Amino acid sequence: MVDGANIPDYMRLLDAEALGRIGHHEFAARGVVEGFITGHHRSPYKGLSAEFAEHREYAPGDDIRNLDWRVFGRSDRYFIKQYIEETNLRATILLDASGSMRYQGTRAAPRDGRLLTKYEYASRTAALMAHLLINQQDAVGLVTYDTAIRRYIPARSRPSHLRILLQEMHDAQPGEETDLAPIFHDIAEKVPRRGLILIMSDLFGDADAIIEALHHFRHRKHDVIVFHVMAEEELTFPFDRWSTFFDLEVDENRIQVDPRAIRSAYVAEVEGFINKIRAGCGQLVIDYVQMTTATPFDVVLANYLSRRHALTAISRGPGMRAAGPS
Amino acid sequence: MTFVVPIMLAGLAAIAVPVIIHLLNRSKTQTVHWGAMQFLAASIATRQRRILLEEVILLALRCLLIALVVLAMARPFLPSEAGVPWLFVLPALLGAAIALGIAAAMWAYRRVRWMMLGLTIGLIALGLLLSGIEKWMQTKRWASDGGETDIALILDASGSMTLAHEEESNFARALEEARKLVDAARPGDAISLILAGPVPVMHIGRPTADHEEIREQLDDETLAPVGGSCGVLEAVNAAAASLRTGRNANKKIIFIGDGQSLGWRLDRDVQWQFVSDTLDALPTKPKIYYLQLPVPEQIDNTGIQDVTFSRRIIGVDRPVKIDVKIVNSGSEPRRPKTVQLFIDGTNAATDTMAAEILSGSAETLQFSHHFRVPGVHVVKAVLETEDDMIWDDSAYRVVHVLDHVPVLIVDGAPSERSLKGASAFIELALNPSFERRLTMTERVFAFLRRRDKDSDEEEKAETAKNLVTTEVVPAEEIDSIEDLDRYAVIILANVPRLPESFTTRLADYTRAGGGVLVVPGSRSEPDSYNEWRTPAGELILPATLTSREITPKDPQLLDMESLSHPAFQLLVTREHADIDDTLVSAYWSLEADESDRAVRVGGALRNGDPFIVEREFGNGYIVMLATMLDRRDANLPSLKSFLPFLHELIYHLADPMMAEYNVRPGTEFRVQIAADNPASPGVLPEEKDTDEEIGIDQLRVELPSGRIRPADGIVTNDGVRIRYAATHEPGLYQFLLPTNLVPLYVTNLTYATNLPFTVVDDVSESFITQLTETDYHALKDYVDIFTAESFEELTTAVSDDIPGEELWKYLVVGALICLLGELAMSRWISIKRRYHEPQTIRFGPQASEAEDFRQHAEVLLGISPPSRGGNGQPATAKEPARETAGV
Repeated sequence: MVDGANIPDYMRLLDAEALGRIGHHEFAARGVVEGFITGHHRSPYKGLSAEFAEHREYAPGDDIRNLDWRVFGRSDRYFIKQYIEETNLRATILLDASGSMRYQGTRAAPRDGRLLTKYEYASRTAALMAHLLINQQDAVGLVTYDTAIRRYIPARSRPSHLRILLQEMHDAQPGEETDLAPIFHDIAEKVPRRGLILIMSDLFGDADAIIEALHHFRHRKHDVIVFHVMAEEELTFPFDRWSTFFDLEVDENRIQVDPRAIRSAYVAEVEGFINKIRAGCGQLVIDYVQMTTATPFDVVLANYLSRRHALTAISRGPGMRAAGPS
Repeated sequence: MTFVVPIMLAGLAAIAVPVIIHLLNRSKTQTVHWGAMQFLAASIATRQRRILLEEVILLALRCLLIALVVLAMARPFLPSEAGVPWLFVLPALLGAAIALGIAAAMWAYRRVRWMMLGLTIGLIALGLLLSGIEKWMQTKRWASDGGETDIALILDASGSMTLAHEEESNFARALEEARKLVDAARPGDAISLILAGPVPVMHIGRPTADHEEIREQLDDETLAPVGGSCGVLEAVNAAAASLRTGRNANKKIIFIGDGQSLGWRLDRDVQWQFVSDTLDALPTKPKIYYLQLPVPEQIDNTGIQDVTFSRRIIGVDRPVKIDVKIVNSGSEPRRPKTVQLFIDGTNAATDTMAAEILSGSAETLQFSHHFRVPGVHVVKAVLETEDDMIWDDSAYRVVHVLDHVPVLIVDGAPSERSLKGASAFIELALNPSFERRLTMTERVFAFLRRRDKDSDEEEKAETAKNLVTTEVVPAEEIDSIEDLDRYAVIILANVPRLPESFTTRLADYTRAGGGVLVVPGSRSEPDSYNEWRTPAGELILPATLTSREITPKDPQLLDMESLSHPAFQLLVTREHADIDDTLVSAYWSLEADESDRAVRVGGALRNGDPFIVEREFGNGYIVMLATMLDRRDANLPSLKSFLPFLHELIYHLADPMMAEYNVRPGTEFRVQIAADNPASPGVLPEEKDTDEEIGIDQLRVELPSGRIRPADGIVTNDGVRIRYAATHEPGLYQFLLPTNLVPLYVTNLTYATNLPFTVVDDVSESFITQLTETDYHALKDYVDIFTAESFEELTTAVSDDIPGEELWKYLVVGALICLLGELAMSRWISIKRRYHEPQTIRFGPQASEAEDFRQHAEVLLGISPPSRGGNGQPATAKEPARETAGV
């Protein structure tokens, strides 16, 4: 990984930001990630583990080793000590490979000497997250989809698994039309319960249906983080000449319009959509991360991770509740 | 509507410029491969109609702006008498511009686009075509041969032209305009000058190219309004006559007046047709250019409408009532102070107006005056008031006061016994006191006595004096009367037959104005009466005698409804008259020729037989009664009404003999100064002088304006007849009698050397009613009249240009408005669409300032800010691009 010349193409996904300052960045990125996860994830399955969870009155059949003798000494009653089971996190990255993710724009932050499409941006973010998670022995899976699920790679925590993930991210090039909501429902059924779902998408579609689909993830006890990737042009609609807009998903779709005439209406539409999504996420206790390709993803990610870490630190405290979903 | 610089219309092609720019803008689209079609489609769906509307308005405004500028540069011109209303041309061209704008804005809609383009072309073609037609029509209408022109210049000199408007009378204004017109005329143009009062006066009859002469005439200080109304028909006729004498082929009539409709006599179709024919007879039919001067809206004026006398025949016997009618022709109620009555220059009475006179209505003040001295008197009524028009504040009338009215009664059945003769009751009624006629000396003494503070008794004695004097002659001695002209009226009472020598003289007498009353009776022979004819064969009597009806047991009553003769006027209208008690027991059944227009039946019996028949014969009247005026035939003489009836009849018959001293403008004034004529204003000696001795050639008339003009006079068998025909100016005229004539001719002491007469004003002139558009339109049936509103229009018309108004100023204003509209519209659209504002979406409460965010991120990433730019690392990795939304 040190020698850039021998790196296979797919590894560039991870290397893209690292090419200039790889060592430095890795270190910094890990630090951030450690600050967030600190290597341990609490398991909802209680059992023997280093961390004490609660006391329970003794019942016949319990292992005597777990009796808390100190309590017995004080109160003359038998209590069993229970511990939180520490498990590896199962994270699944949902990477949107639909046609609209192909949008590049002129305002994206340059990386590797060129402008990133939304898909490249999203896949780099996904690669970084995967790297971070695998490095701390968590399992990471990947789903790529457009009109349907293209590929489902179940979560593994082996370091070599990262390579498979990156390979798939690299190979999957966006193209087809999407309808997110049914696909999300589909994935929700496929992915094992109680995992971490990372959605990398522009979420273009019916807002209500998407929120409904997110609700399905939550119903399956998943912790969900939505990385909403959009290009800056898609937010601000900065065009000032008569333009013909060709649909990236359906070839025949085209609209000729004076962008200035509809800019305010467009911005209002987008704003309404984003607000709806964000409000829906807020209600479902889903972390919503707005990303534009104009902002380097590592910066956004760093900011998000630090905030999440802070929130987790506060909420974790002495109790046993996890920072994420309970 | 036409264009002064039609070539500029080619610039209309420029309205395509904004369209082309618009279409070019659209054609140079950039291609964007776009993901967020979902939002794009949604925003277009909500905005499309509105955007289209804005585009349409904006493009239409731009095209309109250019069209307005181009049209203004082409200088649209609105002729005063436009054949094609501007309402078609201008809107067509502007509409074309708008249509083109719409076509451009809706380019994507094929049907609309082609429809609008078609409309554009159609409207432009229509506008240009109409403008072309108008140009052709106007050129045809106004162009003349271009050579020199004869111009008849008519100045309205009616009373209303004295009206001051903005401190200058309209007449002064008319003179000023006339001078300017003369200045504007080409050197070869010949001009004649006509002053149009009630009768036109040619100041320069034959058009002259000597403009200096015209200027001199216009500067003449005696040139003033003559008063009365303006006789337009006569003036135009005079102008036509004047133009006929001019040498140039082109003819024009220029008329400057105040548009007072009175003088135009629009109801007189026949006369206007005549005027039209007269103008047609000229080499080229002249156009009439009428410059209508303004009149104030508020007019403050009262005037004397009329001065009337209660009797036609005024004698020295009793007072006469003089009615002065005051009319308010202004727009507000007014109360003039006083009305003064002057007789022969001396104030005879003054009366104060009691109340205000409402606008448009009239009040009558009644004066009573007793003329003591026979002869011609001048009555002047003066209204003391301060108003806008002074010409109608005084009025003159001339009255001839008679000393006596001599009546000759021819008695067909004279009787020695009193009240038995045929003439007895007539004579008694006419001359109740049988008073002797005073001699001239006695009259003068009587006058002098009155001057020395007369006493009441004398006054009574004077009033008892009779005006009518009678002379009775038996029918047999009729030929002994040599001079019939000495009598005002001749009565034939029960004359059996008329000697032929006498009837001829009687006919001549009547023809000259004498009055004859024929009262046939029991002795009258129908054969003689019915065959009384002039040598030419005309019937003289108004009716023929058919049979004499004697019905003593069944007397006939008068049919009161039928009494229309002026002699009954006092009787049928007065409550106490007993004329309806008349019982006729014997009468001649008269047969009047109803088809004869000179004959009228003035009253009839209940059975339908005529009672009184009158024939107009020459200047005089012959009246025939059906019954004798004695008690055998009817009870008339015993009625109270008999006296007034007979007197009124005599006055009526005597009236034609009297000269008319108050003539209408344009009517000849003439009077006979006869040796022994009762109606003559003077007395000539019996012995006749030759023309030279009388000094006929020295006869002069002083006009109301003070100018002196020669007058006509001829010596006839019975005296001197003088006359004056050019009665153009209303007012008081004075015949200046030659010194030789004066001693022979005595009227009264005040006007011993002058014989006054008046030309009466038409006071309706004080009511200003201007001609309306409809009136002008009606006039155009007869004459080619063009009404100019300003002097400029007049001179344009005179110099063969097309009169009218340029409209470019309005178009420039329109263009400015369009420009402002376009600016406002684009600004509004730009604000509405937030063209120039960066659009930023804030993502929730966590969003923070970009700079804070970046620093925070850099701290987290372990990048120290100072080293960022200088450590050779690609800045791109760390720099968030531009301002944008954060997390």
